[in-house]
Amino acid sequence: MSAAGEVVPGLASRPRPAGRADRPARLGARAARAWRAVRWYVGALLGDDDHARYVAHLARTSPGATPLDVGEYWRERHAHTARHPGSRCC
Amino acid sequence: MSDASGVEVLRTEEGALPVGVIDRRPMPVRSKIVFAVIALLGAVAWSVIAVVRGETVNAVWFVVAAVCTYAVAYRFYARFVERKIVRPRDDRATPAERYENAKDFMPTDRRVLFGHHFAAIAGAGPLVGPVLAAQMGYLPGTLWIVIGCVLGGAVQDFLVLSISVRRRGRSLGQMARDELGRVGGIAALVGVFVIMIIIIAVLGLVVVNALAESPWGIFSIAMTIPIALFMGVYLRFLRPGRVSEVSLIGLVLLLLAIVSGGWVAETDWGQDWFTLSKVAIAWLLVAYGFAASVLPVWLLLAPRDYLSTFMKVGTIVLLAVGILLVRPEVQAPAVSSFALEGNGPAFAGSLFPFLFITIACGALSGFHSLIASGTTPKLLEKESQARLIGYGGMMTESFVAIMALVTAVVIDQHLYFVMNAPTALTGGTPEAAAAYVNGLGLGGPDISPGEIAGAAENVGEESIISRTGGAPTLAFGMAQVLASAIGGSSLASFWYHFAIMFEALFILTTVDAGTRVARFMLSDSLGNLGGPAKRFRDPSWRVGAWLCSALVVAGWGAILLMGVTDPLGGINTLFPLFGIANQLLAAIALSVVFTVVVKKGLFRWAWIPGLPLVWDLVVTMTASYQKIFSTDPRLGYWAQHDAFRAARDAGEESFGSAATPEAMDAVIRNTAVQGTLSILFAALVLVTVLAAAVVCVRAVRAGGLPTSEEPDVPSQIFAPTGMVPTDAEREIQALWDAEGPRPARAGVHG
Repeated sequence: MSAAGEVVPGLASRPRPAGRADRPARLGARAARAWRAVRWYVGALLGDDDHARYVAHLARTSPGATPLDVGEYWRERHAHTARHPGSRCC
Repeated sequence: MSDASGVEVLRTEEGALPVGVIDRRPMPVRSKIVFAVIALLGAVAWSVIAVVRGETVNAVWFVVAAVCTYAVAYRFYARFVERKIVRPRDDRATPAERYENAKDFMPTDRRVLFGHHFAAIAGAGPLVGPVLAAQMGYLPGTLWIVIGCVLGGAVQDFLVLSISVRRRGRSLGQMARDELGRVGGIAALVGVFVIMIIIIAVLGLVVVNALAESPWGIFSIAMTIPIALFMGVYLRFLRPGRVSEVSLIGLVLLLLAIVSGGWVAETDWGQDWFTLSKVAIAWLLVAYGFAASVLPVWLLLAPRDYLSTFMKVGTIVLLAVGILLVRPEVQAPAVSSFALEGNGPAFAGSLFPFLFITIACGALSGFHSLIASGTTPKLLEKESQARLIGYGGMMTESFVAIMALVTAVVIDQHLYFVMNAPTALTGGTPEAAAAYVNGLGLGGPDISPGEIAGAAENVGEESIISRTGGAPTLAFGMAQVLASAIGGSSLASFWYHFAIMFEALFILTTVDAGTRVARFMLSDSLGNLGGPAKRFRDPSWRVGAWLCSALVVAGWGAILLMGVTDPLGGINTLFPLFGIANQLLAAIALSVVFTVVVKKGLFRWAWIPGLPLVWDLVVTMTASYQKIFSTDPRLGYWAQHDAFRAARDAGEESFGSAATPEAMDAVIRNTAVQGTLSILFAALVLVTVLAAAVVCVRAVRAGGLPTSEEPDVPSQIFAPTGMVPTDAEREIQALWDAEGPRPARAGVHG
């Protein structure tokens, strides 16, 4: 869980008891939740939400500052990675 | 303060929300039963694998045995190590929280970080080593992968990560200097650098051997470069930040590249352009390595990274699904004659020590310690998550290694040796190869030349004879398994080239990233020399960057070319060097860990890192000794060197598998280089271990010494510990969620 308090799909609520009639709807809802969870995970892993986290971080630490836009943020990130390369194992 | 149930909540400020949970509740009965069942199942699976004789074993037992062992080890041994040595404190701010800068220090969700860390440590290593080790039968490899991981590799990753987290995410080299002193630090640094060079070279050799004489493979891999460039440009200029979108596009293009490779390989022009010799591919790889390491990160490296991450997860799933769906029977014996006699064609040497050298990634891999002390410690949210990420990540890679081993041992034994014996033994043609493998005493019906040629045609290749290096064998096995599961034999060639593609993708990413890291180490060290060389420290100085890149690429390129032109077959001679180098790096990492443990006064638990350290040293020193001093020319580099030298001096025109005087000269040169490298590695590690021993003796005498741990800073965030939050953690998380977005951290560093 990000400490910014975002709710992660698929974790928070417990399944509610229900009758047979809404079983397909429940399955559909579960599948939708699972898909959202996969999309969240892939996005977080690859870095889709890194810019949003940067903006939130800046808002927290320097409230008056103007955040970089997405393009500029990623240019900065890549420039930083170029200066501090990480290994990839065998 | 704790309540009666044994759940203690950690607060760092009066009245603030809790930042951690200490759960001292006893294990519920249901969990105990579950683990008893798991343990029983695992025991049954192990006995089937280890004891069954005469009938064939089903591959599923391997998966069951491995998974059950991992579950038990993670729940009990890893927790034990955590309690006795790591002692994580969630009320302490990790460097990610403390130095958060939205660039490299960022508290990252543990599930996402697990993915990052796993993608960083897993590559072609766990796929290649086990495949080569299958020459010794299925049992030794399986035992070493699982036991070595649980007691060695996972412990190393876990402890290195934990130690680095307490030191601001410092790298292994820096920690070696801080804890072992100047001499140990320099030896560790030089060791890391040299070992990185050899690892890149040998992985390059694996790629070269996989792609040689394969127009389909060359075309597909060549296409990944424009695909990556396109992705890079797209992300930079068209849709910045849409990483998963561009990765999906790239993945589709990648699959298209694999499929179209088949079409291209059928055409005449395709075969003309894309059938390349090993030497040609090696030179292309050298050129690629240089170019990729000087081009901007966003253009080539980052897009490749995104593609690789996708493929890594996809590969595990595919392998697992394939094995569980098809449930193939194992063809290899439990322990082959090559294990006992040490005369195997894939690599020379007997089971001890060379099995443990050949399988590094998946059991105990020193390179992981560079990752565990690289970007991961700067992203860890809470200290208690290190078990999941460090120990759990390595276990997952070990599982990949098991599946790779299974894939190799379900191949018909004759075909396995056709693929893995060097050309000098197989002769290169189906007739000669059939004659060779039929003479190996493998049991079962003899193989015919037609079957060998047919197997190659089935996977869309001209020939599969002497396709050494492990990658083609894994691809072949995967094609066999997956074709039975999905699509039938018409898809076999797609699966084969898909497997080659992802292995090459992983390796090329390692080559690119490794060259950059090595270049940085080099320019940093040159910068330390002072005077005009100080300019090397400036990363924006292009000439310096290019020069250092060229030097690094020349280093591994030379070894690669040496391996490619070796008349004895590069994998046979160089792979042991790769394994020894990797394990020696593990010895360096474990020495640092051991020293820290001793310095902290935890003498009673020093055996936890001590056990793998001692084992690793025994294995690598024995292997190094044999490689340097053995009088058997098949085993010892210098013995081989002397034998060829003597023949050359006596005026012979050919000797052994070197058919010309130039080839003999090549062997003389190559074995000298390999012998020197072996001596260098062993010396560096001995120096490091001695430095560690000196510090440890001092620490024992003093009853403990200060370490370079950073002082405590209280944490102000909360995060669950394991993959799935416990009920107590869920309650606390709900409290945090109700609070809304978190306020600015008091006294944060910008």
